[in-house]
Amino acid sequence: MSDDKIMALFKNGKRDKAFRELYKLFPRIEKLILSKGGTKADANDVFQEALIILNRNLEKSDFKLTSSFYTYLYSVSRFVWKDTQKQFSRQELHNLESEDVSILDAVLEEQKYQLAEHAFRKLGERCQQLLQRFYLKKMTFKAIAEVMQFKSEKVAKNQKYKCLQKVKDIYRTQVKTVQS
Amino acid sequence: MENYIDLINAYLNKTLSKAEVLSFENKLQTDSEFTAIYKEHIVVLSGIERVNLIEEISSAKQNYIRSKWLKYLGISIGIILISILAYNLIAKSQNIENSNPINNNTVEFVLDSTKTKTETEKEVSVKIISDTVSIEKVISKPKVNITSEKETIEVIYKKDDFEVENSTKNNIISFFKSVEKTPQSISLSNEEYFEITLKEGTKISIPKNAFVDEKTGKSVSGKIDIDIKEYYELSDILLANLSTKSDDELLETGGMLYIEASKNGSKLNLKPNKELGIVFNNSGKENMQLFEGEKVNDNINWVLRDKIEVNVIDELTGEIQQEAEPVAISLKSIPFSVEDMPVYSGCEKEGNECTFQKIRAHVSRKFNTDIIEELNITGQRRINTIIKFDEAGNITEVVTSNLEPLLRDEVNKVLMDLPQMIPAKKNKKAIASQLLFPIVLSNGFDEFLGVKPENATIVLNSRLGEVDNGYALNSPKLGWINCDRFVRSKKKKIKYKLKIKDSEGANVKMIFKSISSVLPSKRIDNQISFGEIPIDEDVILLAIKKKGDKLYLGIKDVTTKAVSELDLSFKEVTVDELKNELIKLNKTFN
Repeated sequence: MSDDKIMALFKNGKRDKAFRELYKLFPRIEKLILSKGGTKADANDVFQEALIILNRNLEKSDFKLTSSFYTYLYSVSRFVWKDTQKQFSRQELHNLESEDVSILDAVLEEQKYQLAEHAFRKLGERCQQLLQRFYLKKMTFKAIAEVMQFKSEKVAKNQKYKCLQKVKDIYRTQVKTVQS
Repeated sequence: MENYIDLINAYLNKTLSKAEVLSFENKLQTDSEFTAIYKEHIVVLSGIERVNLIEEISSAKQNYIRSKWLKYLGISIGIILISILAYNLIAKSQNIENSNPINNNTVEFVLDSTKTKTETEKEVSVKIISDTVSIEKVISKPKVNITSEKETIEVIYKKDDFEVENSTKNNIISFFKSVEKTPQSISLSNEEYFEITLKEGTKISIPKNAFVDEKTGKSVSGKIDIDIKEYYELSDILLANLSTKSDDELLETGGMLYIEASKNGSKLNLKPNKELGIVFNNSGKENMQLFEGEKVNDNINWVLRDKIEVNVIDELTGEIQQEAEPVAISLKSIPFSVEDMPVYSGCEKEGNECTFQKIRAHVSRKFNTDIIEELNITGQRRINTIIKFDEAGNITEVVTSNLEPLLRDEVNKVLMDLPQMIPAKKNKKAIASQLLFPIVLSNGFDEFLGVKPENATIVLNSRLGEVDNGYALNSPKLGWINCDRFVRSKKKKIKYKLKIKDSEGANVKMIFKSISSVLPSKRIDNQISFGEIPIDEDVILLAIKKKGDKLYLGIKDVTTKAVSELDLSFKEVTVDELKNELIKLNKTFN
């Protein structure tokens, strides 16, 4: 499938199909990671991360894909891998090309999100469901209260606020441990 | 706080009025506390989103894998169907042939020029047409079988050849095995930095937590064992059946090592980002580089470390990666910061990028690009060069690896022509330095030669050694390690092949007197071939063979020129006599 068609899938909200198409590029990325000393599991993680970053960028209005999906995913994967291996030398960072800079930026940004994801996964099941329903499914508190059997809309809202604060707390402690 | 969150949600959901949006964005710019809350909120939301995305991606992956299998399944079903059809057809056609008396209304179908078939009724004949298609398939099947049979026969032949050669070879290989050097064993703790000077003077330093189990890839802890063999003396090199060749190029060695690490008997590897520091006990030769050894049919081939990486990347992408890990190098072993690089005069204030650009401009201006066409370089080709500067900033040498002579000379000419630079400095003292400078050759119509201007071409690399106190190199790998340089000779080369009487099963090597090089030979038909070597070199031909339990040695001094046959008298020796003879040769090295 051509890049244009994959792009159209993204635009038409058929993200699952687009991802499936892009997985055809995985073997080549896997080769890259294996050649750099990674394992198959590493390759999986790296590619998943690259897809997430790609998707996030596509959702930004000011982002334009200037190369093919493959080239882009390849570069992102390379950066993700290097970053996880802490292999960047100061000189490399110093001499990045402008395109690379934006990729590296996205990789580093995504790291924060990853921490938040880990924080979120540490929440209780109910908290997780509540936040997902509100933020991702955009359900109203009324609907949430019904599905999750809260006494009232107000309780659901309160509960949501508490859950959110909890993620943030966990997230902050994680950031601290990472930085120290 | 809760109000803030509600506000942020409303903003993100775009339910605010225009005025509210304006005031919100204004607040983002002026109220830093609010901005922090907003940013954190975005991060958390993105984190929650990841959970969903990851789910979606892994289901996409499952789908992808499933569809891949379905495809295979489809193909197999197809094959099965064809087989069934073919089987039915054979059965049917036999029936038809048997049951058919000769008839006037026959219709003929020619199939594959060998088979004809007859049929009576028109309706049936229609059937045959569809059948014939299948018949062709049936016929083509035996064909496939025939070819594959041929192939197996060929393979068997090859194997026979191989075995014949091996049985005589095995003798000599078992001899080499029997005289193998005993390694120096060291025990150390994986948790601590470790440094040692070995018996023959090699210094090794091992960073802490450097090892992982080869099989599991997991870090190991506690005591680990390291076995190292050193090969500096010619006799040691010869007895280990080592040689100094990188593909078709001759290398001059500054010492070889074999390093193995283990814990409780299971093999260990170095972690990807850990390197051994090695100082070879040898000096006086410049441009020593690290080569890794691969055993190919009992001979060893040395591969330049940096080159491997470049190749791997090329293969994967089919394009030249701008990932260069190239470099400014101090001759004083420790990698130093970029501030210490040599500077193109006029770039004092502008920094390194200015120096690179000046060098690039110089190269693109002076390089004779006709060579690219002449050498038929298609697409892009990347070459690495090392420019060496002395303490005064003069260019003393240009080093390239594995280039065609024409290209090498041009690169040398152009780079040697660079003006004197402001020398590299360390602690404010001028020092000699090296610059690894990649050049990309391209036959594209507009881009000619030169390094991409934005390309970060210079990074520190510790893989080139210093000259003064032995060659200091870092190795990210265990196994066979060699510190060499390519032998660059302007001498004419000849193909050196010769016949040696009674040399069946002998291991024949060539030792160069002027350089520390040992070349292995290949036996082609009855001739011993050394490939292309420089002419008029004084060399020693050395042959060791083993017949039964007896060991024979032949040594002869010759000058390389075209010869066809050589008398080499083998004399019977004991293992100790052989060792002594080889030790006598040691003085030819260094």
